[in-house]
Amino acid sequence: MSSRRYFWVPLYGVALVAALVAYKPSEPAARGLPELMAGFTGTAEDGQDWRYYGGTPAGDRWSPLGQITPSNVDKLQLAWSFRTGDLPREGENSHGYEFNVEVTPLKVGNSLFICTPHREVIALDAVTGAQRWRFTPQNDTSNNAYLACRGVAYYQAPAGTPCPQRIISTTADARLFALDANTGALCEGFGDHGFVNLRAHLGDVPKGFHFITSPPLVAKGKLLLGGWIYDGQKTNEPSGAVRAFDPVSGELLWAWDVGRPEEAIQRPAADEQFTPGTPNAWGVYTADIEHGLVYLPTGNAVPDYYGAKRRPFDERYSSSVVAVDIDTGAPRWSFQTLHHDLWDMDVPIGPSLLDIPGPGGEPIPALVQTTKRGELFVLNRLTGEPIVPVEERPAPHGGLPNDPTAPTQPYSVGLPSFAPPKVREKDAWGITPVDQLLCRLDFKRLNYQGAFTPFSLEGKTLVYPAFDGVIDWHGASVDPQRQRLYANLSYIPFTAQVTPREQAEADGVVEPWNGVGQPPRPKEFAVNPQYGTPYVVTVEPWLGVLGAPCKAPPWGQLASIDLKTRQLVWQRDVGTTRDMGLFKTHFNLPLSTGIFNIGGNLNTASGLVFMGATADDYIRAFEAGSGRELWRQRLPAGGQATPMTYQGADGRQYVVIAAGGHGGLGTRAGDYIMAYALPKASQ
Amino acid sequence: MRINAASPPRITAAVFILFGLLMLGAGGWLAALGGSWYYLLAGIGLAASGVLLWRGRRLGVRLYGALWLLTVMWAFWEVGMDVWGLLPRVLVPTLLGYTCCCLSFSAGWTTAGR
Repeated sequence: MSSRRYFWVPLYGVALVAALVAYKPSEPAARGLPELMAGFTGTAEDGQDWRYYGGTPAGDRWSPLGQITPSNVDKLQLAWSFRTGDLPREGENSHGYEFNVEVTPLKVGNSLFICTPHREVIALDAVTGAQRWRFTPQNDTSNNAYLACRGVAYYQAPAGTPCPQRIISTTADARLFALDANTGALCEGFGDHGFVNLRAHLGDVPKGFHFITSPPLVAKGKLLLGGWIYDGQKTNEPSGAVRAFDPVSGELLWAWDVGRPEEAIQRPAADEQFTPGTPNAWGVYTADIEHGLVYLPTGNAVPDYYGAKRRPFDERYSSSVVAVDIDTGAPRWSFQTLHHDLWDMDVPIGPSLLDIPGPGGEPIPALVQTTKRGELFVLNRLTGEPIVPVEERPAPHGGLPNDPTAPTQPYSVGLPSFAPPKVREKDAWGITPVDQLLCRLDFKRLNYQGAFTPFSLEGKTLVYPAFDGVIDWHGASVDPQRQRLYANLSYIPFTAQVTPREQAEADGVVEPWNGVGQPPRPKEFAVNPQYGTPYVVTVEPWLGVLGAPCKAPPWGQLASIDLKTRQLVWQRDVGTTRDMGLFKTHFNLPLSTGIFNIGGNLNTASGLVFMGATADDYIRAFEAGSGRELWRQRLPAGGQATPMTYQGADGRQYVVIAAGGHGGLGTRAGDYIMAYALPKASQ
Repeated sequence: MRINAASPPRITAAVFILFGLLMLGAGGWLAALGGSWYYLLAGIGLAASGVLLWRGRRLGVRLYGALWLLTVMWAFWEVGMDVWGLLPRVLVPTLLGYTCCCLSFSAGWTTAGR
């Protein structure tokens, strides 16, 4: 037999694969943004600072800066980088437990302020990236399912107050603290020598069951926060009560307890207990300061995947956006994005606020609420009334015993939806015909009637969209001048296996627990023990035998909607399979499939959209008008954080992103803060 | 048509038979569940091609060629011009096709086939 085939076959193989790698969908043609409408100038911010997680309390993730433009963005280069030194420790980034660098820095004056997953707070020189100070809290993180800190808050106290400029953050074991922004020292007059215990009034809080991953919101002289509750563990988890603190003294001013929803509890007494097991609002809040409203994104009442024990008040406020009076804590209105949520479709971030033109061109105070579902709701932010019509549509019937699904679910019918279409057998994917066949077979055997299929005891259920969302905790960005929205989208189907508790215990999936003391932690994060209910639910990504996703690409996209015309302006695939450590699939070839992403985007008045987020380690810039990719730069680790921009004291515009990876997405871990600017000479 | 019985391409044949049987089994199950019949039929074709190759029959190569052509036609019919949809359906079958082509052009086979 000739040896020639040992030469030709691999050569053909390499040529075929090279052709696949070379294949890229053509970039859209260049297109600018429309002219501004009269009366829509956006915020009064000059763009020099970035004082809130979302840029402003409105969560627009928009900057008026215009030094970096579509015509020069390709010259953008690394200005400085900083390493925090905070990296995952033994066991913190395995078995589904996560170490995630999700921080978006604040920029105030000439400093940047960041927090790390182990909750160090660091101040950097905004021009050079040199460290000014660092604060290291003592944390008990031993039972934290994941480590993440999305950012810190900045508070400017009235003149004459000690510690006049404050950086507010939280520890990984639920303590709120205030630091002097200039020195990094604790503000002694805040709480107990700088700390406030956030477990107060929450009753029994097992280790790791309550901490805060999002920055508190500073609004109208208050610090507003809720916090994360360990999903899926047990009934009667710590209360999801939202609390307002005095940023000077640390005193608890009011608490909105879903169990007593009509009014907030004012200055709760020491023995006051908030209602356990209520929905929590763990995402970043947004606020309309002028009208005195804070917008709370609520999760579903824990445990997430079994709803028979939910109470009427839980049902009313789960998976909703709730407008609460900042002064009193009283709810003004609420809008539910999913009824009787059995799929962990938390609203994971407060809405983005902007004015959009009404029928006569007059500005209507609006908000856009992104959801894990991929459905966008546009509401009047003062009344909660839909501006874009919302329609209740029939949803799949059924459910676990005693836990029927809601008959209908709300859909935003006047706007393009980013919800994935129903999966068909031919959408099953693989690398080869054999693993694809097994995914097709799997699909045929899965319990699936489309989105919001109720779980079943008969077999696995396909959950799509799932808890990682189409749009997760990072939300979208909006351009308040042109009423455009930019959203990056991620498409990962999951499967859910329901096991009766006795069987799960017999199989060793969960340990028995008698309801006293610390609940046992499952070996795998995918297992939701749901103590106090009859069922254990295991939620895993839908992957084939080779570890490739069982659902065909695209897996990641970026899209723009014109909120005036309610039309999709563009939608494109973003990202490649390069670096894809996702769920252990390291095939590492840069195929332009569009890739899973976590972390948001930033848009600028000059017509650019910046995003990292993708599971390939890049930061990219796109032309806002067309979606055309204009620039990209390799990151040293996964960029699963939302970028921000500011103007330094040297007059240069910087774009900054954290690159430290995301344990759940499986991207490369790191501890980098990367700052990009145009070369000095070109300004 | 028996060709060069001294060295039939046993490894290739074994791979074809193995994957053919796998596709036949799982594809049969899929078809029974109301899914695509392609995998069952392709599995039969692939296994048959493998058996012929094992026996040193050139017909195995031709059968695979026909199977590949039908596979490509089916793939375009099912997913159209979607490159990522075509990937699992066409890439590996094409690589196996190259193996087959090389077999048929390899010295032993051409000599024996005369």
